[in-house]
Amino acid sequence: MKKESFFAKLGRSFKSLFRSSVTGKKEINVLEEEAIQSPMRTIIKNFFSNTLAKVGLIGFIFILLFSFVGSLFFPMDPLYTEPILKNVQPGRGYLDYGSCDVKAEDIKQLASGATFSVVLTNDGKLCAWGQDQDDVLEIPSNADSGIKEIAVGDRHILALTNSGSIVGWGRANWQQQNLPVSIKGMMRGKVVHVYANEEYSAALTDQGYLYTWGSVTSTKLDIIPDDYQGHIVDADAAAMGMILLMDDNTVRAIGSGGDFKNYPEELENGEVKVVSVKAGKRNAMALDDEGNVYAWGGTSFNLDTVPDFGEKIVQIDSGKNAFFAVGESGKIYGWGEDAESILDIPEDFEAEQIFVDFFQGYAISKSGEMTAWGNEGFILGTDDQGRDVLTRLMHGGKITLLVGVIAVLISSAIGLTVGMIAGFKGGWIDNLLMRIAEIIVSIPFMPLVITLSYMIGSSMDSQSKMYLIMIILGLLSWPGLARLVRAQILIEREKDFVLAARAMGIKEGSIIIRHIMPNVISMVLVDMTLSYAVMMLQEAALSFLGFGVQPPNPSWGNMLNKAQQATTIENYWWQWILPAVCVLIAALSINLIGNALGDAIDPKSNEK
Amino acid sequence: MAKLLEINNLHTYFETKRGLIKAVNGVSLSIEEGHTLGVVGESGSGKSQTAMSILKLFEKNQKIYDGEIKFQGKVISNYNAKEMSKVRGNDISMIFQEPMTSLNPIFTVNRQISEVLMLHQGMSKKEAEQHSIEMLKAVKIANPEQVNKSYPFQLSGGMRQRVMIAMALACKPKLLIADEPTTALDVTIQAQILYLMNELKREMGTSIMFITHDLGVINQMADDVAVMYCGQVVETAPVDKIFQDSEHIHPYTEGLLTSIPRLNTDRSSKLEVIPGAVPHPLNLPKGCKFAPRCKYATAECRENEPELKEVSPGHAIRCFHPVKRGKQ
Amino acid sequence: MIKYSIKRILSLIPVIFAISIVLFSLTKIMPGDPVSMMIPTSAKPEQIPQLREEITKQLGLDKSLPEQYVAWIGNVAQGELGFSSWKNDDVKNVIANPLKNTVILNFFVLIFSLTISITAGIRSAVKKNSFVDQFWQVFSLICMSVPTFFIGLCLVFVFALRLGWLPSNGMPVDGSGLGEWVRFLVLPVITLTITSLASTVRYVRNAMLDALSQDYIRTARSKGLSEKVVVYSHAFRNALIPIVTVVIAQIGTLFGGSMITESVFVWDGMGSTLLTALNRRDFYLVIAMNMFYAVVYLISNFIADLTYALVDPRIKLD
Repeated sequence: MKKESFFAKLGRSFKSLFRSSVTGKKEINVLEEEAIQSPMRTIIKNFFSNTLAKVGLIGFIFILLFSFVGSLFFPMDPLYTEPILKNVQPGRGYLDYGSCDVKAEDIKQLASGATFSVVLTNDGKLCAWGQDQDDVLEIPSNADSGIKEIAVGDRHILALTNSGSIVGWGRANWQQQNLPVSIKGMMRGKVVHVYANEEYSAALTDQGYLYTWGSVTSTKLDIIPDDYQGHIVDADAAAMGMILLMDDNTVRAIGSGGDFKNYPEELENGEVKVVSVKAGKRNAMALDDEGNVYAWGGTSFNLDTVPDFGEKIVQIDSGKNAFFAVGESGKIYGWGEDAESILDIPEDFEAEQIFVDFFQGYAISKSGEMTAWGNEGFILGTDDQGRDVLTRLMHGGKITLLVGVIAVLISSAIGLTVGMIAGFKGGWIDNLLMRIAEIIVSIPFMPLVITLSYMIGSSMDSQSKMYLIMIILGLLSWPGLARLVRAQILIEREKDFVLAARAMGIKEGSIIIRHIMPNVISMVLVDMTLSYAVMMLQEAALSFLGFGVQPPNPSWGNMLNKAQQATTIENYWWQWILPAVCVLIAALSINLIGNALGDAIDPKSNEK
Repeated sequence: MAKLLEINNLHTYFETKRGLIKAVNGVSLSIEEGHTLGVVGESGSGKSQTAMSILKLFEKNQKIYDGEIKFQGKVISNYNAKEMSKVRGNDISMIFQEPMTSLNPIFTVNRQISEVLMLHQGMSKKEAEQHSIEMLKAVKIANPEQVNKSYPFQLSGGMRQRVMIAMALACKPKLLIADEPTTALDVTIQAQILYLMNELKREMGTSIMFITHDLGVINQMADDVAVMYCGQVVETAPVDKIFQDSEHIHPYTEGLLTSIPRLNTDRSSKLEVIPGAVPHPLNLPKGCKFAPRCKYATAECRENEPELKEVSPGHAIRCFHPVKRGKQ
Repeated sequence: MIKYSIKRILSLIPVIFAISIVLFSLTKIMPGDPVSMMIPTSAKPEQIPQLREEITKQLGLDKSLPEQYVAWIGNVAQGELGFSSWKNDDVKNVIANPLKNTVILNFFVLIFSLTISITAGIRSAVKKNSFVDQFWQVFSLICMSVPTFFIGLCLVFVFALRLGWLPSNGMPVDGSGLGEWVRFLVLPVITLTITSLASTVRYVRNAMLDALSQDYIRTARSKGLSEKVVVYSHAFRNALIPIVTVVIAQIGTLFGGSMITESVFVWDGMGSTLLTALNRRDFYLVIAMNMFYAVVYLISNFIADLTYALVDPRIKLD
């Protein structure tokens, strides 16, 4: 009963904050109006008349939309990583074949690397587009014309000229772009085909001999059984292995991709005549002369399960973890991992030929039209694990903003309660509470938070650690507010109007609720806003040091964690500047709002 | 007698975001040597701002827009900061309403009084200290040596105001501006301070511009009176004319006079008050500023603004229809 | 004054005790076993149980918790801060060098931040709403909204990696001259100074504005004092009272706050030592570090109180 009336009064005091005391609708001028407006209305009016407040509000709404709405549109699998797309610069246009001005009927071959594609025309010319990494888009002058065939690795390109020599450019960490002299010297026959994939290259001669170079030892691609050599007519290169098509239309495999070698018996013993082979990361597939598709290898993403097409297949191709087939009708089928939109195959497109590599797919129709699907690029680049920075910024923002809010709610709840008890009760309770506050304040914040986070949370998973951070930040940040509230109450209690109310015989409880609480509450609101910004910065700092939100869940702070290395700072600016700028925009907006709120509540503080 | 200070048509405005606040809006008055001018008016009537304009103690957004101030025949209203600082505290000094906060809390009384003496009189520290004690003696402080060494927080309000007066008179200024010096003090202390000021004025021959809202105090202190309303002088007269024998009087002055409670009035008669409030400086009425509150106001009063007109020698009124005294 | 100081000192003692108890119990819930970390990898399996017992005894871990606390606090009082399992040395020896480095770093930061914030704060207050004032307002707002380490990273990016003028991180080698120290100090000092300026400039400005709006300033002007005397003598001396409290009390926070900067610049100070100590589960070191931070904070608060009393006659004469 008593409690209820307390809350009723509290409600009334809140309402009185909003209610205007103007009842009669008389013409009143600005000054008079100001004098009789309810406090909350004046505050709101003051707030919105402040330009900076509006800027802050817009900034904060933008950040909210970016994080909470944006992350709905860009879902994220925190565990997904893609090494070949790591540290990609910001930029789009990976599928921008239009920039090359090549007609579909002129295309002889089209191949893609991790972030770019290159086209070979019927008259032997090359053209490339996409994200330039390792100068891969700069076609050297000796590959300008007279090209017969191309092969594209993740970040390098090989071109086979009409004269049979190989020109390579792009990433050179394993010399994969450069046919080694040692191989050149012992090569049997003339090169007719070239192949490339992650950091290695291969060449096949007219005598059926295959040679590999680049990063091949760790994947055992340098071991090609002698009985294969001389019988190879075609091949396909994948990250860890190559699948070979032999002169008897059977299939063989090399490399460390163990599952490659588990090809169906009929492909090995010549029961079916294979005409084409393709390989993905751990899987491979083959097409026979009757239009049947065979797939084998690892079971991930159901790549080994060939869908029921209901028609003859005329062409197969493979991305990194996705397989594609073109039916007689021109329909394109795809299955496997839907990473980087590679399975967003255009519907109702009658394809004659498709070219798929890594995460880019292109198709040419019988009528000479062209289309593309897959990875268009990364507006804000990728991080050191090949994850889209934009998506992680959105999801990271969600976490950073939430951690801050909950920490502020915890600390404000404690701060307000402790401050009120101390302020109203006084005596030994006040003394004790303020001593506790002093102890907490005495240990510098960062070291203590880090110590606690480490001691309590070192064996926690990413999710619980996140909650732990919220709680630690909240539990250690209340003393400031508690002191403020206590001081405010002590000041308010001595104010003339409170004394007057007391003299008029108004009950203590009602004085507190009517006269003291509105002032305290508005002060708490300002403090909450300002400490929200502080909390976000704390989270960022903690996570930056590795003691906050743990990967793989992103937060703006832990996205900055890698920036402790000079290479990241120097080479991959988008990985550390962008999250920091997000923190800056969010904290700045909140600070602007907080300052404006403070000024709106106490205009004098600004006039001074 | 020679005029010590003459203010002609002074306009001092504040520039605010909402517009110009005409705090002083055409004030003309003069103070004769050795006289006390009482400036009276409600709060917001511009009396303090007139005083501040004399010493140019302005806020950042405040300045003189028109008019001039002459002191001993020299126009001081266009003095620059350096010239002005030679006048301040030396020729003209000022004491304020709030003795509790007008002294610097972290300096001793000695330091605060000596500062003026060293600055204007070129005294050494020793001389200044000696003189400071003398000044404290002059303002009737019982233990000047001890007070001289004290910090303001160790002194009572009355004592602080005495220190303020000692400080203001340290350089024997020609004019002392006292801005409601006794408002914040207890009545007994108030009387002591007023007595002290009168005595010092006699001894030193200093003129005083005494600003107050209390007509009773004016009666005790002033030789002449200027009544201010809304940044204008509405009536000037020798003090006895206002209180006794003038034929005419400004309706506002009349209002002020009748609102003084008197011991000899019948207890059953109600105390008269002036209805309404001082208009907001951003929202001044057209015509006579007092018209909205004036019981004698006519259509003319609401349309046109009256001039300050002399009705008898030394007595000027800003009103179309001055009240005849006999009426009461 | 003396009575006041003694009162303040006495009131610190229970706080220090409480902090030490809190810290000591915290370290006890720290996961990991410091003993196994101290067993040399070269030890043969059959030696391990015996070694373990010896080390446990050496660390005093065989006693009950209150006993361990009493033993520890007794030693602390004598300046024995415990034994670091990470460095295999006394904590006080382990701390000595990082402490020196952190003090050097923060000393410069304090000097710069004080000088700049006081000059800038006064100018902003005197010329309110002028360009200077607005510049510092915007500066503080942005610096309050930017993570400290980001300032550091940007400085590293520009001055160390792009322009190559200064080392990106690390410490000068032993026996380096002053020039070398300066080269390594510049960036961390700038980073920390900027961070601390964000709040101090504002604080000085507001304190000055507050002082300048007081009645006694009007009195000072009415006495004919020049604007310089009014601002620097009358107003600033009064503004100094709140400034001193905050700025000196900030020293404590500065030590804690320099942790992140130390980590960015791989500065071998208290902050980096604490991080390593945590990773090595070196809990005596961890407590000692946190105790150190707390003591620095309390001492700086105490000094602030004393300075406050010195500047303000109202307390001095009490």
